[in-house]
Amino acid sequence: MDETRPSLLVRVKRHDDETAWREFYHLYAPLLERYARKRGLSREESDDVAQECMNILVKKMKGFDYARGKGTFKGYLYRVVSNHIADRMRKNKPRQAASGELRRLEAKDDRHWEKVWLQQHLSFCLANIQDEFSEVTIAAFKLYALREWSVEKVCESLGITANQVYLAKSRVTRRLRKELSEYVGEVL
Amino acid sequence: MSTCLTEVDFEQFDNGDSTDAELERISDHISSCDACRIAYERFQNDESFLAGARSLLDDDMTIPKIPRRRKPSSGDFTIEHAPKLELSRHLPNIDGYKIVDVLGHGGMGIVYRAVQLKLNRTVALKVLPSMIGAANPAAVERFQREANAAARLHHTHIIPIYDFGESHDAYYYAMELIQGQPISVLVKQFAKKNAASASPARLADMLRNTTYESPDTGRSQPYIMPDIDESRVTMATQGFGRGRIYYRQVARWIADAAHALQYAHSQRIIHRDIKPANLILSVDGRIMVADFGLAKTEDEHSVTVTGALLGTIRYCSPEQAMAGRIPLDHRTDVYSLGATMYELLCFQPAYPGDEDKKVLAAIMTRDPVSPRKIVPHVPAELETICLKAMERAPDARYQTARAFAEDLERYTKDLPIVAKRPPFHKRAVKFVRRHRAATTAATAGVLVVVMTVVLFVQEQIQKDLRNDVHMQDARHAMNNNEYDDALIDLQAVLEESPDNWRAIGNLGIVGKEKFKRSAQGEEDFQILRDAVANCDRALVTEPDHPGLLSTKSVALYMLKKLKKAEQVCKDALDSQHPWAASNLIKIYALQRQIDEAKEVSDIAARLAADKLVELRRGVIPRDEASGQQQALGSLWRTIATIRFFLDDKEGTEEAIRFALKFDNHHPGNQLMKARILLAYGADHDDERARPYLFARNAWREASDLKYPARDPRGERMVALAILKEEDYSEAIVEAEKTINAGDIPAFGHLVASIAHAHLGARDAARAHLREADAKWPDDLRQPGQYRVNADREILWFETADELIRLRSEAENLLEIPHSGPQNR
Repeated sequence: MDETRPSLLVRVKRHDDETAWREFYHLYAPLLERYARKRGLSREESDDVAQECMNILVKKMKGFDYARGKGTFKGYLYRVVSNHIADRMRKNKPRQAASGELRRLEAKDDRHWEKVWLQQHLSFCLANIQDEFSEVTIAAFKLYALREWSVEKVCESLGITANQVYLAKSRVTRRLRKELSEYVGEVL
Repeated sequence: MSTCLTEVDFEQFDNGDSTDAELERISDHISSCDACRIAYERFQNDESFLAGARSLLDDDMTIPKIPRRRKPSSGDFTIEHAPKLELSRHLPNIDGYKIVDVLGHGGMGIVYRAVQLKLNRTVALKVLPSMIGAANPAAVERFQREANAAARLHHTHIIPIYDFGESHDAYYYAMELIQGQPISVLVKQFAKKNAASASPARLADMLRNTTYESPDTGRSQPYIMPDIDESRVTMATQGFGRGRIYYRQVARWIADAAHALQYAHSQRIIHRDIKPANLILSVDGRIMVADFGLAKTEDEHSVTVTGALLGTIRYCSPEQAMAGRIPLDHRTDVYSLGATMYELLCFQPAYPGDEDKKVLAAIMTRDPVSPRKIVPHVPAELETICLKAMERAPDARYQTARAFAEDLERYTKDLPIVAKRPPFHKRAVKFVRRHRAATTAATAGVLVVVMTVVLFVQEQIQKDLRNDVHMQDARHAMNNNEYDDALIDLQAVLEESPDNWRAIGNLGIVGKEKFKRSAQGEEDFQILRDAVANCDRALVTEPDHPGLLSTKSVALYMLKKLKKAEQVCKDALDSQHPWAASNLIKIYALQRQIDEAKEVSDIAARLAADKLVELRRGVIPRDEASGQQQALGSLWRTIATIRFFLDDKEGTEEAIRFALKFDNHHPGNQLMKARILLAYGADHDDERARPYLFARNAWREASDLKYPARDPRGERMVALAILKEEDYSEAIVEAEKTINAGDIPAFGHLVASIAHAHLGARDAARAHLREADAKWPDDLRQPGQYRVNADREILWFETADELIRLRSEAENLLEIPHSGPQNR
């Protein structure tokens, strides 16, 4: 199963590590918000849900026992956010049920969660590592590997050689996977 | 040359799954061996890490900037989120107290069970987040003043405050720990267990609950048991309905709370946050008012935490909902207690709904549904009392909490109450409004025909009921931007009553909105012409209706009939409705009469300020207030646009602030905010103030409104914003979109040129600059030239100056001497 990098959680558990909390917040708050949006809540509601969950996490992280195998942090977070979303949905029931949306969305929960979880970690990690490369390398990586521009087009646009484009793709991928594995334990 | 590569190598390479030297070897080989290069480009691995990454990142691949990378500084952490996070971050450390556990959360703090060490007694300790102090010295001062005053309150029905102060940057106060349940919790149980029709014994059980403990004798009067016994006698002898028992109990609770408020008011303390959660029913049956002196602050800061305060918002008075700046008086508590009573009568809030904005709008603009319509056996007297307490105009309510209490007590003693149902003529006015045709006949007729008229009215009512359902559905659909659905309902209404001006008018609005949502190049102008005709038909009945006039003028200017549109607006100006002003500004701007547009916008800014005052004072009729707010949001955006065009930085920033305040989610407001941030920069290091986020949000809001995905103005803003965010490869991607499909391709080329220049790709940068010159629009060559449109009712200027500025930015980066496209 996926594991969240112990070091962040451990640092957060100490409760006095400002940087760790900042990181924790920037990683998970948008994740929760995005997930709530995917489940069909409005922007305000999703924002509230993320906020409520963060408030809970802030209190609970101190006691979160990573080592004792009470389940993963990811699973724990999923339970927390699902409960909050379900709570909102219940309040909205007349509105939601009318469109028949509710049941359909519930069936898809897990896949959404999986996707949003990885999505957020991915862009978070991408942001983390970008300073380790030159701007052109990151640009080449994004245009070629993510945007799927042709090598020729990237070469022409950025004025670099094909060799540089290929290397950018391979090296940034390697670094990205390493960073990601530190956060989620397992890589796609 | 090294040996040729296999798919294993490719896979390894794609995943970066090897040493540097090995990756370099493979890369070298692919770049120099044509066969392998072709093989590699063909090699597709859907299972690869990158394929997964691509599918995950969707369209939004801009790398988010995370402040953590920068050196932490005090102003660094996102301003909007930091305080919320701080709320509960640390278990507080309060000198003199030992915190045991958490009892609950309020909007402004957390309540802990704690032991006061000196006296070794258990107390409820409310701790306010330290951020209040840090961010706002005025709030601290106020907290101390109010806590001080609240601590002096001694009343049977007010939870006593033992102690308050500051410790380790946290403000706290300690109060008596009451054994009991807040009314908010009890209401849910009452509803579930059908308390309203419970027998006395069952109600007693319900109240005793499981938490019932030996009553705290001596100090308090145990209410429940004697009352219920007495009621049982009353019921037996006088034959009251079963439900009365519960409602009498409610009347007593509210009366007690009202007495407590009266006492506080006499000490010049307003509670300001009366709600079911703040009335605690102790296990010995006393109702206790909690949280005195913790009125939420009404400064700017509270705006950001409204989401967390929804529970409070539901019970806030219209005057609280409206402003926050005008001084409130004690009658706000009368209202909130009335709203709390309402929930006890009906088992549902007076203003349900989960969206702050909608709840607030409803509080300001609508009377609550009569309790007896929800629960038919609510005693009529209590309904009357409750609705009087909840009157939207403070002057119409009970003028003191005592008067409220006394009327409730009159009810419990079976004496006639003071509050009256609204006088007949008022109800009659409402009736006439609803049944204009029928009652015209009635007044014209003589007594002889009364019977006929009554029959006619009844028939009319039935028809109205059917129509009401369709009208409501139509309105609902329109609110959700489902215009095709709305159309069906409106047509159903018109089948029943072909002259229903509201339906006809809404038809006009639906037409205009449908037109606004059609993609570029696919507009059907006939829709607009029909909309104008429908507005005209409805205007025959309601010649001054601001919504109709606004729709008509918008439809006219979209049809490019600017003179006609101008006339409609001018005629409507007398109504002083914000729509008229904002449409007139747009129409002048579209006619390039900037001086006139500025003049109107200056007047309108003053008008908008007056309107704000009127809204706050409740002068504006209730059914108009929410429409006016929306209109004000649009007006302020339009004013911001004009001021921005005239390069009035301060004025622009003021106007957009107001616009966002009135309508935070309008894509036009978000887009304009992005544009202003791009031009003037942000005031502070607030992450949310990043132009990119505003531009992206505008995009999302637009899709929520079902606007077409493409709007060249929005695409230009997104491209420019990403450029400012220094994500150059994404800027290139966005620039391409505006080059290919935008109405000003030169703009995209300039963004692409700058982005390439930043990446050191000078050849491509120069090529884009040349392309920009080649495609430079003729009407935007000279400084001062501009292009203007008001698509989707969003006024927008495109200026030669901006293009020229971008061009010189590119030239600077490329270190080439300035030329300018006009000198080609």
